[in-house]
Amino acid sequence: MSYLIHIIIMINIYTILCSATNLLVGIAGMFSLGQAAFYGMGAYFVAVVLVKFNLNLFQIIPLVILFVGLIGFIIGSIIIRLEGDFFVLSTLGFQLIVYTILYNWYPVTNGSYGISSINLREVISNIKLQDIIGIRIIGCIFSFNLFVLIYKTYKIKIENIPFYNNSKIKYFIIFVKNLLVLLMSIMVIWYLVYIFTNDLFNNLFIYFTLSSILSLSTIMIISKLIHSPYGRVLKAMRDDPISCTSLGKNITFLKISVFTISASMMSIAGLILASYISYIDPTIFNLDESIYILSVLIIGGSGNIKGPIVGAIFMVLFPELLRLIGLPDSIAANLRMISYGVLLILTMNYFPQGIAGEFKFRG
Amino acid sequence: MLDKKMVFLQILINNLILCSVYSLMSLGFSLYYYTTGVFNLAYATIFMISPYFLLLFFSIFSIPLYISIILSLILTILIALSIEYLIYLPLMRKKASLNISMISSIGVMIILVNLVILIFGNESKIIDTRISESNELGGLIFSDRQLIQLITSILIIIIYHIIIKYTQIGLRIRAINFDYYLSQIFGLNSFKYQIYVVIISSVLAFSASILIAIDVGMDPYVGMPVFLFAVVAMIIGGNGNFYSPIIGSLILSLLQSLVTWKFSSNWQDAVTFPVLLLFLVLRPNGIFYSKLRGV
Repeated sequence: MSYLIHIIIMINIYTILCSATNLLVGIAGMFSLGQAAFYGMGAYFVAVVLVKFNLNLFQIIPLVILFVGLIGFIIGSIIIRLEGDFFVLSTLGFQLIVYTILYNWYPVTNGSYGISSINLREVISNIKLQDIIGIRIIGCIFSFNLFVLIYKTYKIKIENIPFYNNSKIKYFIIFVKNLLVLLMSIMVIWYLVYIFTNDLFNNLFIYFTLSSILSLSTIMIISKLIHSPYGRVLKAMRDDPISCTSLGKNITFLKISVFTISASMMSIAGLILASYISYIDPTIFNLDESIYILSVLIIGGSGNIKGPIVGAIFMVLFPELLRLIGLPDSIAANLRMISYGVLLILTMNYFPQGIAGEFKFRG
Repeated sequence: MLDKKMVFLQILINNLILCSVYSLMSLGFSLYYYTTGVFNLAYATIFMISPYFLLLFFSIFSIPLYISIILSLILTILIALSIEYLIYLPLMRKKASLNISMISSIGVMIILVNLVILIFGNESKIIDTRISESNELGGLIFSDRQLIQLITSILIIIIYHIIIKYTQIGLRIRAINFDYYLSQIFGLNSFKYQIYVVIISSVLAFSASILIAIDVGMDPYVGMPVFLFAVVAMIIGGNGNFYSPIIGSLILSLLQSLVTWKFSSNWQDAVTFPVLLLFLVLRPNGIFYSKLRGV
């Protein structure tokens, strides 16, 4: 069971990462190769601050959002005037600067050795939630939200899914959907039973709750943003910046603000990762991670809310499927990367909107 | 003890020799980028993969060095051409945006790097060419390999200059570079010349990569840093003429030697990219600026 929960925590982390990247790449149309830099900065900020000072969860979340958001604002206001390839290149440059700093600034980041023993558990016990009832109440609210989500999954119209006309695929999709609903409800009920029967200082469950709440709230914020006038202007800017300017929209403000919002959301994923794995080193946040996040987003699809979620679920479950086949570990990692590459090329060639997205990388 | 001035001169000499090799890469990438407009990240993998062919032929099959260099050159060009034919030309015929080509090139990069890791392994490898004498000139030390690097890269730059300046292919590539639409009006087959550009740029990447591999060896992750150096040098140099990447890499290597002298070599990348950001923001067209396509 802990294996399953580990997978769900990873899915939550990648959902936050991909949704935040989607806001920048899919909604605002600013292709960035520097997303892992913000992810890493969030993780390192949390690690350094947690190891040095004794802060609790409610203090650290606003702090990390403010810190990374500020850096995102500064960087964004510098590089926002560039377009096309040069914008991509400057984000890539930023990524490498951050990586080099994380790798070489020994006094603060401990260089290539990384920072270990980051423990959010103490942080959680610092807030007066040791009171088991508090955690149970939060767990109840959370599982109620999950039930709403399951109900919405159950109500999804199959007609919207591609290849609907093929009857075999249709029944397969219906089967998969029902299976998913069943599994999710069993898990939520199990979770409810668990929090009422056991003592709750099992790390995994705290991180499960924390990461799920954070990722759900990130998705909710992004969905509010996308469907607000602000989000529609962003889409207009993506599709045609010049006519958007001619309608009197402030492009510079839009670009800087969306860059900042995306950066601060990436940092939350960093917070979860740093406290969950409790060890970070710079190689987690290198250029490959940026490329990986982008490819998850592109394969899942960008431009709407469900694309990044589908991408995150697919890309976290896919290697586990490969593991089920039983490949030796030395080959499996590389074969996995090769299959990502092939998927990326096929996606770009044949369905540029991804599995569930709506924005095609054209123009 | 060595005084500080000599240390700096030694660092400068080493960096300049390395920069002469990197400038080949930079020339190749700028030729490709300004002709096709595709930000081809797979160019880093062409650089990465070519010494492995040499390793295969020279060290494993033990074919004589010169023949194996020619064989691996042919294989490298074939790889570059097949990437072009399988991925970029179909996308270009579809009139896909340049972002799509770039994402596909990321895909190509992932595939090739992991294939190399699967076949040759993760660790760094060395080609033993038995050239290891070191010379001394006025207190400065440089090895025979560095001499080979310097001379070969200067020779290749001269050959490149002759091809671009005096042959008909070079003339037409320059025409496409200068004004794409006008060259289309005059009936130049841009797909055909794109193939020539791919061949020339992969030869440049191959030679740079072999020159580095005989000195410090190779590993599957070596492509990206060198590629980024090349790109930054290209942007610093600007698109004014075909040789501005050389000037760009000279400036960059000067800066890097200063940083190595003052702090340590770990911070080289950290100075490269602020310089890039500075140039992109203040002078995005580089030092030598003339208005060309794709800017």
